Amino acid sequence: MLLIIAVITLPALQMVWTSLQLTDETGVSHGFAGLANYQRLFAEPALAGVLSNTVVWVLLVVGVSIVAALGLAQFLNKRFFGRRLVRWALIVPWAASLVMTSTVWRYMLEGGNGIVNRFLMDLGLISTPIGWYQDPRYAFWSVVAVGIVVTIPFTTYVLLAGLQAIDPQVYEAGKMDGAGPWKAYRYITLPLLRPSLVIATILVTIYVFNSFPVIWVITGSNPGNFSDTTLTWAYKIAFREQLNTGEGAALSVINVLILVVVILLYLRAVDGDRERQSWLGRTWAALTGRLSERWGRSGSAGPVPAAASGRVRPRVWPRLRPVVLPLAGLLIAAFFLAPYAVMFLGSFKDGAELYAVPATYLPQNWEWSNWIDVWEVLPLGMLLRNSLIIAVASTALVLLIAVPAAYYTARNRFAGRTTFMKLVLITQVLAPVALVVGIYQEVVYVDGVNQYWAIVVVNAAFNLAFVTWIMNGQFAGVDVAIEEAAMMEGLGPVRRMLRIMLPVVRPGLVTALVFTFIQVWNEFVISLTVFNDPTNDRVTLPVGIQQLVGLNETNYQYLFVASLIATVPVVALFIAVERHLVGGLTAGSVK
Amino acid sequence: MKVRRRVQLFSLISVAGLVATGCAAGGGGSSASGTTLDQERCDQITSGTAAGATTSLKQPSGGDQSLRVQQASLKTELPRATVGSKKTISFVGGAYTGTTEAYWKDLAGKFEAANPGYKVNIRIIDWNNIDQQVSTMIQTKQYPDILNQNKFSGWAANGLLQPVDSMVSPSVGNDFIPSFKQNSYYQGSQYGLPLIASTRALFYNKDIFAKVGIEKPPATWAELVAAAKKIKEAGYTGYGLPLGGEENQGEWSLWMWSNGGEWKSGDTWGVNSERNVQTLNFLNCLTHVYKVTQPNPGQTNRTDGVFRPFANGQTGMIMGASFAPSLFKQWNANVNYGVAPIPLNNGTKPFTLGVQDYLVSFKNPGNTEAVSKFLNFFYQSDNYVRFLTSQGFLPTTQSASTALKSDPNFAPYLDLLPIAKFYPSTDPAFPKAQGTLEAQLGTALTPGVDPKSVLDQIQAAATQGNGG
Repeated sequence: MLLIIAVITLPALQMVWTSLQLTDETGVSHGFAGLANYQRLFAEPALAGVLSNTVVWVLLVVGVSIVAALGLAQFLNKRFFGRRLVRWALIVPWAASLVMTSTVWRYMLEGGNGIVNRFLMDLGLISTPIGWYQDPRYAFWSVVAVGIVVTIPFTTYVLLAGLQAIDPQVYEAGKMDGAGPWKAYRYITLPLLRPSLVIATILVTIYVFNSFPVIWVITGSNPGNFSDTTLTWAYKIAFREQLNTGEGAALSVINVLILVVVILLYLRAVDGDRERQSWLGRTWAALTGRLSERWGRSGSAGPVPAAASGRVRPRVWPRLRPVVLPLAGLLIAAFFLAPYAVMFLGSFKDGAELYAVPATYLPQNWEWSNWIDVWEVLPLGMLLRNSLIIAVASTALVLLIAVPAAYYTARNRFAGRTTFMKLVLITQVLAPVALVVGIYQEVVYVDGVNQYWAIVVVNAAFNLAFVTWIMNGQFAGVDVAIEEAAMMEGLGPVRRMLRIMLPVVRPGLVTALVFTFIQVWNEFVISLTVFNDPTNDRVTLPVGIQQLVGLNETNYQYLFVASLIATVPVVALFIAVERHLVGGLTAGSVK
Repeated sequence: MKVRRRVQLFSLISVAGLVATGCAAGGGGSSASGTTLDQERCDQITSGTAAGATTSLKQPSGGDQSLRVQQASLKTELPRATVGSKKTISFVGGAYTGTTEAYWKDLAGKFEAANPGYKVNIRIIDWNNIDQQVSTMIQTKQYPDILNQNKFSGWAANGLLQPVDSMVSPSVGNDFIPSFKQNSYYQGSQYGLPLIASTRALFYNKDIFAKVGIEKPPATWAELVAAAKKIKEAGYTGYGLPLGGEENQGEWSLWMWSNGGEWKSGDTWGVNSERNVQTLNFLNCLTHVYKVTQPNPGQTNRTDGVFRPFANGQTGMIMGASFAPSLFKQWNANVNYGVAPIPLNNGTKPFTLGVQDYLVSFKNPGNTEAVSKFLNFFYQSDNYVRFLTSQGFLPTTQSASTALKSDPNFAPYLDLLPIAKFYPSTDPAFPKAQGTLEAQLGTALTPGVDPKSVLDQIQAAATQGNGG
């Protein structure tokens, strides 16, 4: 708890403080400015456009990816040949660092040499290349589309976990009562899935609101504010255009306030829903009612093709099922793996072919040497080692602190417990990008610049909240009787924890572990600032890879190779624990 | 329900607001510039008879609230710790290429071997993140001992830098090419050591020129338009125009200066002068009237969007740069191209854009001796030339120019150095003007946007401090 205060709350206060300071173009502070920064901000002509972009971005990305993920989760919950493959395919986009995924998307969306254009032209859908991320008419929508695609996998896993938690017996009972597939979905699946949906919505909203890399990498260097959201705009104000750190901080403060208000409103609505039907509950019911009706009516048009056609052609379905399901699975897997396939193939192309017009699908000359040269271009061994040390240590530290904390909050009802849990949640809404200055100052103060322990502690603090939250739900779900029985047997508290509790909450533990590991493994901005000392071989992998982005050139082939190498350990970890993972994600529901 | 509806309403309102401002700008555009651009008006620009072509630069209307007045009085407090001589110094620089970090680490190693007891910690940051990183260091008062950047005047105005002329030996200090050295002063003191330079020139594809029957590269805007039209008819991009955020200040400066416009006239900013509006109109003509550019020039970045297609033989002409050949070589491109002076309009004098980056030194107590040792070590001819050849940039010293005279990659550009014009980067307000230009200039090519309003925005950024 102290750690969270130190690492997150203090920098947040620092951010508020900065927003009240007069700071000049070089970052030197010239005293107190009152609300002048806020006044300037509200006078910016681009403000309205950026705000509406932000609203559209969050609503559209969250909405569409949740609907699509509902369908996907339903699909992946069925048994069919190759299901594991599809699940692995969904893991890759989640595990790959967002910066890298965005980079490859940007590359794919190029105009003349973009592979998306090549594909669409081969299909005959468009006749001339379109500058997807360049043309102001399409730029924002391209970014939204990419946002949706990269958000779906994580959302799907959260919902899949919820689906798997539903007792099959409930469906049996429903069938006996004469409920058809659609009624079952409407009256059994959706209501039972609600806790997962609530969590998914909150997590995804935070994730999407704060998703800086997608927009920044793809359209960050585009002139104008056609595709800026508040977060990328704040960065532009502080470091690119206005060069006004104070005004940027002011926008970040507003950003956090909006998100906190939205989440609190949502939580209250959901909480209130338990006792009485609140407006949100009613809307939700109406919405799902209408949705399920529509899906029911329009059959295959719904996003759940398998289930839908099951209703339309009940006779044919059993025979088609073994063919259609794996086929659909294959298509989905191919869709989500496509960007990484492009990355993989691109890593074998030479510099000229990467920019060939039209784009080539397969490399004309397989440049195997790219994969060898990259080890000379980058000190990959050192980078991998550092990232591994930091990720493992941070994950261990998080679990060491979060597990007892979660256990305590789950077993003891103390004053302000719900407030505490909500506060823990709110720490999640602060984007590291906005806090980096404050964090750096603190790390300097404790003399921890470029020290392993400092970056480990900072990373741990950022993930502590989420893990505490998940583990709290897990412990709360364990029957107290089990523990009492153990106590009778004469087991002390430590042994009780190790022998009884931890095995029981293993799914949650695994989830927390994987989640933290990925976050730390891919973390960029803070490592760049507080742990960056090439002279003494102290650089993390995402920061090191960024060296390939030069002033006048980007060595995409090496960038792709390095990104793929960086993704491998995470995907391997995933595949190893995938089975345990699914059970744990939603266990920490809002209670 | 209520809240949800309000949110929807809100987004509707803001969308409506957007549409409304879009319309207003569109309307204003046509009225501000008199008539909309058409063939005739565009041709007038290059024939020198357009309105404003003969008038001299107008004084900008914006007030000149100089930052300097305000900042000069505020000397920031520097950490006054031990004033012993410190032997470990930090070097922060930008990653010009994938080998920049390797070069500096290697150099630091050699320096430490030659000067036992001294240590240089190297930290190289990619150019996308360097501004944010340096700003973070300054806000937290963790000043690097040596910094490699493309600007210095803002820090000098805040009293954070130490004058460098006394820190390098006279043989180094007097070796800089005079125009570069002059461009390193702020209020009478030299705060920057010229590090690298690059110059620009027109690149044209010789094969395409031969194919469409153009004999010599264009020397004027009118000839450029004629050539570009022919090239376009043959199915290539006539002229590759990058006004995307990556480097549009360079492209813009070339067009502005070749039409006789300026960033500043005397001490006053003149970004939105009539002449400059005309230049921006001409770029609109290239895009929308003559239609000789690649699609979306307003959002096209230089390296990937213009250099790459040129290297692949798809573009007739571009504004090339002295470092482009090394890129072409890396991309295994075998484009057959020629290098020519920048085409001019309105009878302006020949020039080239010279861009220089600097090394500066922050005031950290006790660091002068070590910093001075390292700087002198770096500017030793062999070390410095190795930096230039490995990174593909032009020298800023006379001795290195002589040493590189025989190198075919450098020779054509070395001769241009004496006529180089520079950004007004010694003005502390320039970084902000540049940032706003980078972020906004491309929008001037969006249909319906008034070019003057975009230039007004840049002018405002240059003349208003953050306190205003």
